[in-house]
Amino acid sequence: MMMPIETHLLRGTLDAALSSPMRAPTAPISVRESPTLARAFQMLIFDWDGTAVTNRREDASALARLAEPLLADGCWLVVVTGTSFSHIARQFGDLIAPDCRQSVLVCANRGSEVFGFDARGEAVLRYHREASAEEDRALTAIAESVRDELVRATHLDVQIVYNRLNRRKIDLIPLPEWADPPKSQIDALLEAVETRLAAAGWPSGIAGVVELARQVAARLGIEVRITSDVKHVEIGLTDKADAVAWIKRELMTPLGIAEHEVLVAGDEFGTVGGFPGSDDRLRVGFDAAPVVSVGVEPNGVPAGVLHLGGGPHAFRELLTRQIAFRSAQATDTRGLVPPPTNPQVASLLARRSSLSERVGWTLTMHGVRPELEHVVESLLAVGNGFMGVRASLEDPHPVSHPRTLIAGLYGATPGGSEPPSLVPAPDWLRARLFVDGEPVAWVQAEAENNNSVTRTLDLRRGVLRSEWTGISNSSTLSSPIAIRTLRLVSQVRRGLGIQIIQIEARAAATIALQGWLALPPRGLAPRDLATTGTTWQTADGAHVLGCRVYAALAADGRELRPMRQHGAEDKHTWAWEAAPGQVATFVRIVAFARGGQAEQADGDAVAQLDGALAAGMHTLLAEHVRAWQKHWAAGDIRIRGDDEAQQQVRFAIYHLLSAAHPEDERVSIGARGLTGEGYLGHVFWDTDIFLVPFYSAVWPAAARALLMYRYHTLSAARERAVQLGYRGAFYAWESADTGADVTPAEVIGPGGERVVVRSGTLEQHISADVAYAVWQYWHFTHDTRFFLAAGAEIVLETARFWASRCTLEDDGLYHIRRVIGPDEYHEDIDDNAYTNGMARWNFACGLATARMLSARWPQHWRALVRRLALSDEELAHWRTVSTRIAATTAPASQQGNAHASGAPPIFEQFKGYFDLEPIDLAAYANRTVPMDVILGREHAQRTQVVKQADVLMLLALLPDWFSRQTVEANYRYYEPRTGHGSSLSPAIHALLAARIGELAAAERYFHQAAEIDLNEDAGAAAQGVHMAALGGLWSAVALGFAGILPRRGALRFQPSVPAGWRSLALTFRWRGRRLRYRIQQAPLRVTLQHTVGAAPIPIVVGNLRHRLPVGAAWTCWWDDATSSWKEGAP
Amino acid sequence: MNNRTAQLPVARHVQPPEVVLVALDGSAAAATALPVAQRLAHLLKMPLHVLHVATSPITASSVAELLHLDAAGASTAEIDVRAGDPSEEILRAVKEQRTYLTVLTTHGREIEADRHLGHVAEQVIASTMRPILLIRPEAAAAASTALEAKRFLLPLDGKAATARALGSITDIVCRLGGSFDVLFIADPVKLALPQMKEPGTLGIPRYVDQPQHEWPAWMREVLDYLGACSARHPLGVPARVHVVSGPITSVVLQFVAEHLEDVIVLVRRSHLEPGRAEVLRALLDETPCPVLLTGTPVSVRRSLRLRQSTEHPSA
Repeated sequence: MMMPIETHLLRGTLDAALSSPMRAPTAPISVRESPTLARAFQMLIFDWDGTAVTNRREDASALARLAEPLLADGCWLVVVTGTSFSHIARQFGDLIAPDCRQSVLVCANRGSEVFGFDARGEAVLRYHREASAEEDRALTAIAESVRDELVRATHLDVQIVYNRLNRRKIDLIPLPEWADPPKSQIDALLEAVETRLAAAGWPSGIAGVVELARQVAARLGIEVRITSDVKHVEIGLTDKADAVAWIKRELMTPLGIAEHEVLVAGDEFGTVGGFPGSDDRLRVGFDAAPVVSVGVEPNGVPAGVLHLGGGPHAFRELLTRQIAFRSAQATDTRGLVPPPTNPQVASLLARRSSLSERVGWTLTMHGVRPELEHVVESLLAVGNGFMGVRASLEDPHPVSHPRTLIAGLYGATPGGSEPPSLVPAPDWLRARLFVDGEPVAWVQAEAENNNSVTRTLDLRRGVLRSEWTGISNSSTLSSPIAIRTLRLVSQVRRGLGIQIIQIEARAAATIALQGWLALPPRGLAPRDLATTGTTWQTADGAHVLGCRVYAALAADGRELRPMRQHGAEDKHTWAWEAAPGQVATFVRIVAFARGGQAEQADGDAVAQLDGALAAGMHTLLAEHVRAWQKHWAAGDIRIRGDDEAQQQVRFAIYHLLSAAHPEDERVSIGARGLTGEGYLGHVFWDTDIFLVPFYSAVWPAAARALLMYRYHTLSAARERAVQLGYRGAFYAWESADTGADVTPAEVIGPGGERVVVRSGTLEQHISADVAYAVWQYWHFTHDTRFFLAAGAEIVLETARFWASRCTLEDDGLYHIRRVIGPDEYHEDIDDNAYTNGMARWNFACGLATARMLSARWPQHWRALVRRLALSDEELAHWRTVSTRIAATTAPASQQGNAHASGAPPIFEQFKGYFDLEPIDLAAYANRTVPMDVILGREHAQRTQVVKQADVLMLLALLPDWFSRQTVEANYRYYEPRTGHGSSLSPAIHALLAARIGELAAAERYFHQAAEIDLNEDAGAAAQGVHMAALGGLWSAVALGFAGILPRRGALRFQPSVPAGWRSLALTFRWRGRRLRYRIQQAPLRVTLQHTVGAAPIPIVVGNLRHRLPVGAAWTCWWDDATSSWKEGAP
Repeated sequence: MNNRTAQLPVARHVQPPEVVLVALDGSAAAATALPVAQRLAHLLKMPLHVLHVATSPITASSVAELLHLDAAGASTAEIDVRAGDPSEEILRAVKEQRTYLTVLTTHGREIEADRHLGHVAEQVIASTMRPILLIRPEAAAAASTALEAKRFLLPLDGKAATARALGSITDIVCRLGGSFDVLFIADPVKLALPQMKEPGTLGIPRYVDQPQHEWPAWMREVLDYLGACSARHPLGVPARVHVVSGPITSVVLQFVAEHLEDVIVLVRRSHLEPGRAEVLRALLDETPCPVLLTGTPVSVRRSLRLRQSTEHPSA
């Protein structure tokens, strides 16, 4: 809507206004050029329409974001407008944080009302001018009289707007196309109104109508203010000068704000259509306050008014500069902002650095594709086992899922209607930039081929960097700034996250940066909303998160003072005048601490942050990079000859290294790690079977922590066994922080059907899987302390569970009925090969533990026996059960060749499996959907289609138990029947195929496993990367292709490498020693180097045995002629 | 009021309102679209633009008479009479007007015995990417009711280009207060063929490790995906996601019957060349449901570059 051009009934006032010296139209000067504006003001009084916003429908959020820091810093913002308060409240007030609103004043309805806000941010009416009934009648009488006279003279449609406070508006052009004209079209509107009136026989135009109104008012003897916004002529009791008088009297005087500390802004001070602009009334009573116009002012501005032009854009620029003047004031500095020339930061931010030059060390995403954003956020996430941060942009796309996830921070809904889930922490990375008052669009998301943002994950150093050039392919316009960001979560101080943003000015500009904590979308709330968000609590009150943030910005080598808003978001705003080429650096460090009590969590966060600040940025970055170097030195795999495989395996190792926290025994790694909220952060057998082997070989401390999580949740497993009528430890299929089973009870299936989830009660193999992980770790590390303190107890208690679970039946065999194996297509089955096999293994392992402890640590064994009430009879029972546990093998007809003639046995996956309907999966070879979707769930259950390795899983885990012939025979039987409907399946097939020398299949399955996450599909990794598939990929390489087999006190190697891999090299640990293992091809040769450790390592390669002393290397090669290994080089 | 007219300056900010366009050719078959279009215009609060492509000279008032438009109907609709090639004139009108939605019958004057989709409708469909509501004349009476009930079945192939075309459709469904049944179909016959992959495809998940987590998450992802592709955050339309296995056409028809769907939404990804758009043709032949159609650019640019470490040593 137009703001009025005001005139007065009193001829003298009008004459004075019209006769005040007008400056001829001149080119406006920019905000930056004006020395008058080069200081901070205490109060800004400004018009709304045309000055602060283009129109009343405009999104004023950018304005609000710039206003907030000024308000927080004590600056008053006073809106003086002809419109009603509700419009301003809706468009502006509601966008201002409640705690900032107290310094906002709205003088509405052209001086008739003043609204403020109380401490809670609620609107308060401060002043109201109520027309008397007589005044009201008089206003109507004047308006109607003018209208009637005008209609009589012109026969035009002229209407009166009655419902305005203390005003009547005569609409001179009530046509639909001129219903709500914007200010930018005032010239066209003026022409339209004047033409309309003239054509209808009213040659004196708007001025004539005003004069008519003046005469009518004079005739009736009423003192009114007559104004016009061109579309209307308005007759009212008050105008903006009344608002200014109230401000001076009620606000400036009590607060001691002098005139020169006030800036007045409007857009219409000069004359339009022969009248002084409406905002000219804002100057009444001000002598020393600078006055600026951002309007077009076609006829110039009165003397004393500075003409800026530029509309609301210039007004926002003016606000940005006001922040800059405040920021420029001296500030306490902790000196943590590295200068732009800092070589360490430059190296980390460099697009191409010496450390990242080799293939396989970076993963880059160009542009923002909204449909892929969730996937990119997962793939490029950074993590350290305590904290995971998705790769969302600092100013994320609306569809984005920016998340910082904290290990173990599980929250349940009150009442427990939903299973507990990982709840996101406050998003500490949010930042928004303004250039000359305009928000910078980091994400021009819907633009085709938008490549203005590039995100690169530096796998080697565990940092995510991004570069924003502001240029999209669809535009040749370049931004006045360039942005580079760096993000990491410390591998040394795991509660710390570090963000560095460099803003380079390409042209002179006023730049503002706003940083804040975004409130978590669910499950976590600040304990005290009124104060800065230092402690947060889960909805069920079980966990508290301490959160402390340090943020600083430096330009030209000095730190700027932020405008800081109180509240949970802890919003900080800086602004500065940037010269071309100048680089400003923003640093933010967050410290998170998880705890049960607020004081403790907050104290820990404070201590971590203080420690970081004391250490300084150089130390923080250097120690992080060193930690990653150490990780890679211990666990890298180098593949020559297949760049894609190299990248895939590095990606897997990167996420595995990012997921573990060796110092936290109370958490484990969920199915998606900390890269996304998928699977609610729940922990499955994935961790024990697919992840622990990697950690045991590469990072034993991390493996130990994962197993200690199982030990700390052993009591929950015991309780669960008792609840279900068993003994020992029955681990939860899905667990969170306590170890209690948190498997959802049901799910709405893809066909819309309600499906009861039975894996929570029937997928019991997890207890043996946990024991298996303990035993694997023990084999790799010989960590006696762990085994005696925790591992042995897990092994014994899980064996005890199986003893109570197996039932002796009439056939003289022990059966385990009603279970689900790894192949979850077949539920409620009897004698699953994997479950029974692992139970048998669990007995053997328990008995071996008993033998070992009683022989080597008898005192400890006796204490354990007492504590667990283990008897010799019970151990004897285990022995009996383990030898008589049911296992079905195929009849001769199933194998194609006679079983009786000595062919290896084919294990029946479960009782009755062989009788199920065979399905030729080759007919579905190109499928991209799981077989149970194609066939339907119920049909799939009636077929031999296997979801994932089941029998083959057993064979993969227990290589010592089965001959190569048995493995090969079962692989050939089950592989064609496996649908790979689980991400856990391809890697295990790669491993087994490599072991039996099926290298083409092994390589195919390896890439299939790698492409579970690394592909360009939306959705697959959207909820986080598949940790088990990544762990499986490592196993496929290390235990499959490289053929590492820890076996009875020696390390056995059975390499079987794809033909295209020229060499494969890896490093791993074994019982306190470190080995470098290299396999080269053509001819196949192996080099082993014992780099760290004391005692020699007994190694076996085929027919060769060797004891490898520390510091020594040993080589052997495969002689095709003799089909045997030979020592030395070929 | 004054009859004297003046040439007033044009209000530059004012755009003509969007319209619902209905194309008629004087045939009884095409005329069945009119009540549907009138109802739509009313529900969408938009003017109705009646396009009559005539073979012989006729005035707008005669058209109103011919269509039995009463005074109220005639005053709320703009009648636009043109002569020429029907499909060309319809396409021209669609371009000239701010056409929000075009209502078209599957055939008009000319009925081809062997197929429901007449050549005029086919040419129009093949040549515009703007939304078209296609109705079978014999089922037109039910179509108005269908729009009131508002269940829109949206079979999806999971490709980003398809989802991107849905912005205008989603807007229509939103304004009508409707909801989507998003249908992903695992067609064993098609799945047996080599799959053409497009970057950014969100298909039925290949790996469902734990259904209790995978399906709910995937269904949420589908809705986010539709919002992301069609630039609506959030989507703004209630939606349910379903996965069904079977031949596409029969699955859609069965789903329509079982779930009492009112309208089928389809995205055209070809120019309806012979041998293409088989599903569209088959559905039009077999369903009485109105079909809400939109198009997507046929060539899909590969704009994403997810680069896996291409940083080689500099020379």
